Amino acid sequence: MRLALAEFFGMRKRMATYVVLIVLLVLMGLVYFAAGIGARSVGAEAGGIFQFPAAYAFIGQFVFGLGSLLAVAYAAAVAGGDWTWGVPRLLIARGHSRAGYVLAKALALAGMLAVGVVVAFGVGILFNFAAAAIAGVELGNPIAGDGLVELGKSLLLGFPVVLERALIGFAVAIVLRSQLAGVVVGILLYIGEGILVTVMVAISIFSRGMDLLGGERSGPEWFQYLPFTVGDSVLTPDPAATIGEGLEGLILRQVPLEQALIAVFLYGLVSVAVSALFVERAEITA
Amino acid sequence: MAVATRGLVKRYGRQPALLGLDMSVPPGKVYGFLGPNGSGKTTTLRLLVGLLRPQAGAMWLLGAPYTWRDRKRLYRVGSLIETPVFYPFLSGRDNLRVIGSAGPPTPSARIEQVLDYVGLHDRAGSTVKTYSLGMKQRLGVAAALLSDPDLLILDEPANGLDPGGMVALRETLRWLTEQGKTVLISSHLLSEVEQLADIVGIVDRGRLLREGPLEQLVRDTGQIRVRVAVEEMPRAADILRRVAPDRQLYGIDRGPRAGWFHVTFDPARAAEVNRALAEAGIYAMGVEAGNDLETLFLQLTGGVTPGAPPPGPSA
Repeated sequence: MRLALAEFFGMRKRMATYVVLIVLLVLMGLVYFAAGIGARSVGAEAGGIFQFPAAYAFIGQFVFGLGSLLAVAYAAAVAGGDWTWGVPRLLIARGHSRAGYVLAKALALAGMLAVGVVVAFGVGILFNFAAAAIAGVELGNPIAGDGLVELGKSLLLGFPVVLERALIGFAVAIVLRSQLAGVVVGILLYIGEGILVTVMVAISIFSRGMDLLGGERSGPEWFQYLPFTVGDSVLTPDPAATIGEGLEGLILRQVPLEQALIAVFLYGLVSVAVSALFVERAEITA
Repeated sequence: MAVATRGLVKRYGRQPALLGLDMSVPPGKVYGFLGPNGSGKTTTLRLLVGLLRPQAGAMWLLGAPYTWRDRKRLYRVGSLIETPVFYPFLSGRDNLRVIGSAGPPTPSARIEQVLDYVGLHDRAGSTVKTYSLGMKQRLGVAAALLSDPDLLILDEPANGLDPGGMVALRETLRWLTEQGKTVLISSHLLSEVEQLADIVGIVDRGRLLREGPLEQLVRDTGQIRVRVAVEEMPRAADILRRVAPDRQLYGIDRGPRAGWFHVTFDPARAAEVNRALAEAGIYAMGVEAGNDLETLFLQLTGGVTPGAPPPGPSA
């Protein structure tokens, strides 16, 4: 725990921590600005996306969607950087447990991601107000009615997904023992899985003879349980209610929330276990 | 023994690094671990601090058998292996905080203390990426001292240090041994080791070639070179064999170096050799005594051919 705290405070002073957060916030700000302008030109009904509590889903798409990709890169940078700089050698030579080092690092990462998610969500709410103002939409109290519950639900369901995806990037960087390779491979895996799932969805559509609206939705299919994909079923348990969902929502049932949460938990756990096992067995030559 | 290894074997794939290394580091001494590049020094040190696992052999650390699983034994060991490594975006002090939070508990006052030891207190708040190599090296020594270890393992600690830093390091290490600590130091700076070490181990191609008190090693393998007239070489050889029986002796009887004898003998006895020759009516035209660690090191590791011609005759 001492090491986890020290690593957490160390991460505060790391440039990548701020770069990742700023990239997310800038992109989110640009999209909200565009959405505000667009809603203003289309009309007041388009500004409904800014109304709370539905707006939390829109913010969540950024924080947990784009944020996940950035979290994968950040986690890989955090874990891989240690190997690039050779820090594990220093800590292990002091008698620190190898698995303990991995756990401390993962805990520190989780803490930093939690802070990042809260900050990004908070700024997202401000952006939502700004975009609504641009669109000329009146917004009520964001925590009135179900607002607070929805906000809490978004954060509580979204954070484990971001963390799970980040831990996969973390594990990749540790196995590759490199910051750059970890970041690149982590992002490639994330994007690659997205492409694979898109292809599989397309195959599913063709196999149904393009009958998108008729008939029962099938599934869930095996590819919906893939590590970076299963979290989508946690983030958007009812895809029809969200904005920007793909065609899969029309033809495929989501993975049940409980199953998806268990899968997210297991993937996170396996990522940490693989990292710890790898470090336990590693010959530290650099 | 503070450190001992017996039959230590380590290979990287098919590449052998250690081929049965036997070394013994007595407690409370400075042990100089010497060897050319790739001889197995760093591999040995990595094995001792649990970064690597041997394929065969046994290790003892601080008086008890040791394997990489006995990680808590390392609480009493401070180490600096290869180049010093730190988070570049953290200050020296913050790096020590992170390092101090791993392994044995380290009071924060100790961080300030070790920063003082290595003379880094004034720059402790600057990020490590602004440090020179010498400053990083000093921070590495500070990190090794954090847990007030009984055994200090330092791999090339003088790398990048300026002369003042080297003197300070020497004084710190001397002071530590006065406190009863053991220091195992690997270096290619023979003069540094010569000034520091009580015991020397010379390793090459994964095997320990020689080990023992520095003075004794030098005495046993020192060399006296003496030049006489070529026509007197046979008689001189008899006298030298009498003075230094069972010692390696050879002479050069042709070429520009003709007349030189090389005898493996305690260099402190050069005058005795000269006197023996003079008493037999042979007057040496030159006498040289080689008793430095460098000569010994080069002879053992094949850096020069043993008994190569001396640099030049002296009157």
